[in-house]
Order: sequence, then C-alpha cells, then structure tokens
Amino acid sequence: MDRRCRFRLLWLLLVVGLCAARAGAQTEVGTVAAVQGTLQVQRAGAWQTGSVGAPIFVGDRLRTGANDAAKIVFRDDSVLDVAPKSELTVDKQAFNPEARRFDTLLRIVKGKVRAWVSEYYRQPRARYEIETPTAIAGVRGTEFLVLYDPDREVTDIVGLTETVDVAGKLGVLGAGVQVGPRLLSRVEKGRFPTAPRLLDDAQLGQYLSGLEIIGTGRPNGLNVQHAAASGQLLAPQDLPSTAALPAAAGAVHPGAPSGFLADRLSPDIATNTQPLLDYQNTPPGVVPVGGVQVGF
Amino acid sequence: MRLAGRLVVVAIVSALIATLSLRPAWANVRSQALYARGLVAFDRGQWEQAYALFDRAVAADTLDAVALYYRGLTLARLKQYAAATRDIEHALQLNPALPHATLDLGIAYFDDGQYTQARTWLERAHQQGIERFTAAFFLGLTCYRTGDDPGAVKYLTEAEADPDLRPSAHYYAGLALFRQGKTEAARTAMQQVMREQPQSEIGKAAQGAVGGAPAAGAAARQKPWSLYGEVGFQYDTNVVLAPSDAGVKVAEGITKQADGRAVIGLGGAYQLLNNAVGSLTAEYDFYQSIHFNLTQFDLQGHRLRFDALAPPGKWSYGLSAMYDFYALDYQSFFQEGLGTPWISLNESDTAATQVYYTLRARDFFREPYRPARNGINNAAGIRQYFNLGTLGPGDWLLDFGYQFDAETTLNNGLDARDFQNIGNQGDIDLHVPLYWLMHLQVAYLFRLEDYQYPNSRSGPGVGQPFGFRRHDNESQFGVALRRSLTENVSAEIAYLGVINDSNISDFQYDRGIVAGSVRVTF
Repeated sequence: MDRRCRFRLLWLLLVVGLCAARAGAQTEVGTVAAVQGTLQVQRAGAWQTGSVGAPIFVGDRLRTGANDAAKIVFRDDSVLDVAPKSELTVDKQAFNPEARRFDTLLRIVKGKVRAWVSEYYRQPRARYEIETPTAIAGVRGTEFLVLYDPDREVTDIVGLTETVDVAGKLGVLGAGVQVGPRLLSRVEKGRFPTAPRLLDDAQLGQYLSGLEIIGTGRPNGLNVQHAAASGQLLAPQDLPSTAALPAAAGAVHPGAPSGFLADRLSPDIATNTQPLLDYQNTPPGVVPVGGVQVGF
Repeated sequence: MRLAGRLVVVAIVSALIATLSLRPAWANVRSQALYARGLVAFDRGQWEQAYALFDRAVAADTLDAVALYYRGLTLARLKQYAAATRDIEHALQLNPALPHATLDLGIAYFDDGQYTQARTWLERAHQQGIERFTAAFFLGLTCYRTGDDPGAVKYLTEAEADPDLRPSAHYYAGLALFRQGKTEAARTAMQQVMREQPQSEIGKAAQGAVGGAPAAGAAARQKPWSLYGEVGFQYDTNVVLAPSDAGVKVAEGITKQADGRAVIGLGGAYQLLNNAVGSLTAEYDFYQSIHFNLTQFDLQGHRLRFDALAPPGKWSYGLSAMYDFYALDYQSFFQEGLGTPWISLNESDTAATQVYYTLRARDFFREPYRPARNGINNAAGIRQYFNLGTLGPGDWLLDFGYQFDAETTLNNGLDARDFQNIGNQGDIDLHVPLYWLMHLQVAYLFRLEDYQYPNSRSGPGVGQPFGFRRHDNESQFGVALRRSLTENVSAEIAYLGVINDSNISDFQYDRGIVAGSVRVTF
C-alpha cells in the first residue's frame, strides 16, 4: 500500500469515526424522571433546564445547584440519582442487547451520585464505570454511591449492595479494591484506594443525604388539583340552599331499579321473549297442526 | 496479614448485613428503573401507564415503599380508592417517615367517603404539621361531611391562611355556618368567595346564595351532560327461539338457528334540573343489531327516558318514565311506555331497601302480535341492596329482589288470552371490582309465568285446542366482565344463558349469548 493510498484510508476512517461519534452523540440514552429544584443540562455548549420527561443524550453535562437533585433513568434500565451541588457528564453509553454490548461511562466533575446499575452489566464484557479526577468505580449490576470533592481532590465510593471495583487514577495498574455493602473506600489524588471500612448508620445516612428523591420533585400529592381546592363543587348538592348531609361515596343509595343483566346487554334478548316464527306459522288463537306436547 | 484478616472480617460482616437486613431498605435496581419510568408517565398524567409501571415496580420489590406509595397515588387518580388507600397505608407501614403520605392517605379516604378513617389520618397529618393548612382544609371538609359543623368551621378557618385554599375554605365554612343557622356569618363567607373566585363553580353558587340569583347553584353544578357510543358483537345460539322438543321442531318446521350480530349503541343524558328540590335528567338511547344471516331479526330501538330524583337522605325516592320504540327488520315492531315510581329506605351506608311499582303499556304494530299481545303490565317489587365491604380492590355490592307482575291483554279475543299471565320472579346480582381495573358482574334470575287461560296451541288432541293453561319457568344466568381501558373507554365480555321450560312444548327453548363490546363515554 503506497503512502497516498494509506492517507486516503486514514481519511476515510476519520470521516466514518466522526460520523459515528456524531450519531452516538444524538442518541437519546436516558430520560429525566425527577427533578427537585432545577436540573441544568448543557448541550452543544448551551445550558438549558431539564424537566421531567426531558431526554438525555451522550455528551450532555448535568448540573444541580445547592437545593437541587435529579433522577435519571437510562435506556439500559440503570438509574442515577444526582445529589445537590453536583456536576457530571454522560461520556459514553453503548446499549445493544442483540450484540450484548453494554458500555457506560459517566464522569463526575463534582458532587455526589447514586447509581442503580441494571442486570445487563452482569454479562461478560459489559462495563459500567463512573470516573472522577482521582478514581474509577466499575460495577456489574449493583448499587453504589460516588462522591467527589474537587476542593480536597478526594473521591469516596460507598457500596450499597454487592461489590464495586475501585481503582485510583495513577496511570498504573494494580492496587484496586473491592468495596462491598456499607463499605467505604477513599481515593485521594495520586493515591491508591484505601482499604474498605464499614460505615455505621449515621455515616451511611450522611452519605445518602440529598439523594432521597421521592416522586417527580413536583407536588404529587392528592391535594394537587383536587376539585375541592380548585373552586369546584365536590358534589352537586354542596349548595347553600341544600346544605344537607350528603351520602358517603360508595354508600348503597340505589336509584331507579334497573333491569336484569339481559336487559342491559341487549334489547334483542329483552324484546324477543315469544317464539315469533312459531306465531307467524300459527298465530295465537289458531289451532296448531301436529304434535304439540303438554305436560312437564 | 493483619490487614487481610481485618478485610475478611469486614467483608463477612457486610455480606451478612446485606443479606439479612439491608436488602429491603433499598428497592432493587429493576424496581427503581420501573418506578423512575412510572414517574415520567405520572408527571404526564398518563395514569394507566403509570399504574402499570408502578405495579411492575412493586412486583419486582414488594418492599419498595415509594413505588407502593406512588401506585396508591395513581390508583387514587384512577378513582380506585379502596386499592389506593391500601397501598398508601402499606407504604406507610414500610416507611412511616414517607413525606406527605399521611396526608394523602387521609385525602384518599375522604375521596372514598370513608370519613372516620379520613379524619384519623388527616388529624395525624395535621398534628405532624405536614402541609398543615392543607390537612386543616380536608379535615374541615370531613367534619362538614359528617355533620360536625363547629369542627368544620374551625379547621376551614385555619385553612384560610393558605391563599390557594382560601376561596374553597370560605365556601365550605359558609355552608357549615348556614347549616348552623348562622346566616350572617355564612353570607359574609359567601361574599368573600364571590370576591375571590367569581367565575368558579363555588363563586357562582355563592352568588346564588347571597345575591339571590334565580338559579342558585344551577350554573355551578358539575358537567350536566354525558354521551356514549358502543359497538359490539354477539353470538346467539337460538335467535328464533326454536323449541327444544324435536317433535315440535319437525311439526312446526322451525329449527334452532344460531347467528352472530353486530350491535351499535349511542346515547346521551342531560341534567335538566338540579336544585334543592331534586334533579331531573333526560336520556336518549339508540340501539341497532345487524344479524349476519337472520336479518329479519335485526332490531332497532329508540328509548327516551326521564328520571326525577329527590335529594338523597335517609329516604330517597324518584320517578322514572320511559318511552320505547322498536323496529324489527326495519319495520315498526312495537312501542311501549313505562312509569316507575320508587322509594328507598337507606338503612345505613351499607344497606338499603327499595320498593317500586311499574306500569307498562305495550302496543304492537304488526301481525302476529297485533292486536293479540297489546296489553298492560302492572308490576310491584322489593329489592334489598348491600355493600359487602372491601374485598380486593373495591367494595362488593350485592342486590336481590322479588317482583310480582300481571300482564293483562287489551283485546278480549281468544288469541289475546294466550298472553294474559301472572309472573313471579326473583333475582340476585353481585358486583365485584377486580384488580387491573376490571369489574365482574354475576347475576341469576328465576321467573314463573302462569298464563290465565287455556292456551290455543294445547288440547287433548289435534284440532282440539284450549285444553291446558300454559305454565313457564325460566332461568337466566349471566356473567359480565368489564375493564376500563382508559378514563373514557371500557371493554366488556359477557355470557348469558336462558332456559325456558314450559308445560307446552312449543314454548320450551334454550339459548346462549356470548357478547363482547367496547364503549366510549364522555
């Protein structure tokens, strides 16, 4: 292969690669399921508000303020809770069940997330990783929590169920640890992960604080848009002129008697009660010919 | 080595904790994903879809209190209050600290009409300070519903602190004050409602009360009309009512003929009046069946109905009047008018007894029934209604009754005497709400008909008619399963069996009908 040919091949690969990257970047990989306060999403350089139901794409950067939190559900059935004062990017999400290709990379710039990693990642070659400037946490179908403090350049990884593989970002292999449920491993800049240590209830509660996102983040209670609170009458008889005690809902207060089930199902049944064809052959009052039997 | 040993101990302890205690504390991953997707549907108001997702989330992790709570909230939006309260209560047992759930449970019980339970939970929410003014508002409404007017005024006055709740709190406090005879205070409350929300239902109702508007509250009532459309298919094993007896079949040349038919129903109702005296509703229904083969049995029905109803109380009463017109094979068949005055004694919220009388006049347009079958029917009946309580997702309702009726033909000819009869019938009907928004109805009816004169097709021998009086006994048994597909659409499948036994073999027949339909209601 001459130099010119090699150059053309390289150029072609570059174009194909760019196209693939662009196609990947446009793929909707998740949906915002809950937002407390405001979730900001940076896409194509511009920040916008991400509300419930909004799509998440590869390349999106997510940010929460001091009183904000969010829940994202990904197409691979993984869920991510984003705590207040957090920022992260969705760097990669390959999800192809036919090809058994599952590959997710989230990068935390600051703050805390809790990940619920789906069972797809239990398969061989599947990879789910959350990366911070000091650590990489990888799992195979489990729940865990990652906190990165950019001021101290420290990453805390807490296992919630099963185990998380934690490694430092030293540019060298080895010295990773496995973090099980209720265990914490800390990774400082330029250091290996610490040996996991057990968290007591108070410590665990502290790590989970800010991640208890219940509901969509908007008021979801039954008082919201309740007829009673929106200027509607709860019952037609709720009038000043008829301020009498109304019946409880579900109470047995029958109206006009209704017919039997047959009447409701079809007038064909209810109206056809005498043998019409028989009467057409032999009208009432006319003596029938043949073998009418009498007696039960 | 010491470090390794410590790690082993830590790993064993953590594994034990995970196995024994931690698992229920966090919903599993599958449950979380389903719950999160359910939230998206919930936020969009897609209640059926949200219910399905939360239901699967709960199935994936039965201890997921939040998914259970949201399934309950969704069920309440679908007006499945019994199931909703059960879910929210269960969620609270799993996680007593679930924010807002105590208040929601109280509201769900209120919407279900279970005011004792509602009051318990709303008081708890009020004491806990969970949206205190909202809790006070619903507590006030609960007090109003149960006749505790001082309590209603107290809580509703507290709820007025919330600007969003203020107009409704003023209005219902006004109603409670009216009931207490504190007219001036009530008028003041109503005037506030008029100022705050003049265009709302309560604003117009308040205007009617204070300003003496001619139709007090009439403009403020809820949607006065409803419409429906229905299409279905029925398979009928014996459209022609051919006799079961083989000998008669041959002699009469009529054999059992099964056929399918498409059925179409359309109709609507409009509430003409609704005031302190009562309500009056007009209704029109259209029906058409189209047989695949036996087209001479295509039936078209038109029904005009009026229902007058007194306001509910210990006693309730009303009058139902109907006019029916039927065409068979697209030619006039018969017309009838019916009037049914009725009165019910509502012994409690779970039991009622009803008596009624029905007068029916029928006029046939064509041979062979005209004029022989033209007649007047007088019927009187008594029914008992019971709410059996909540079993499964809702209340089971049972009703049964007895009816006596007498059919008197208007023509004095021998042919007319064939139709003059006395009827006695009893029936029982059970309504069972099921999971998955389904509803089951099971019914059975037994009817005796004693004809008053010897029948023209019976006799000691051929050519010697009028030998015996006709006696029929008929059994009808049916089962119908309905499912709500959306808020406006429901589907139903049903089976109805009829066995008519008679001492005269011409009238012995049986038939079975399988029916399926889809109904759209607005």
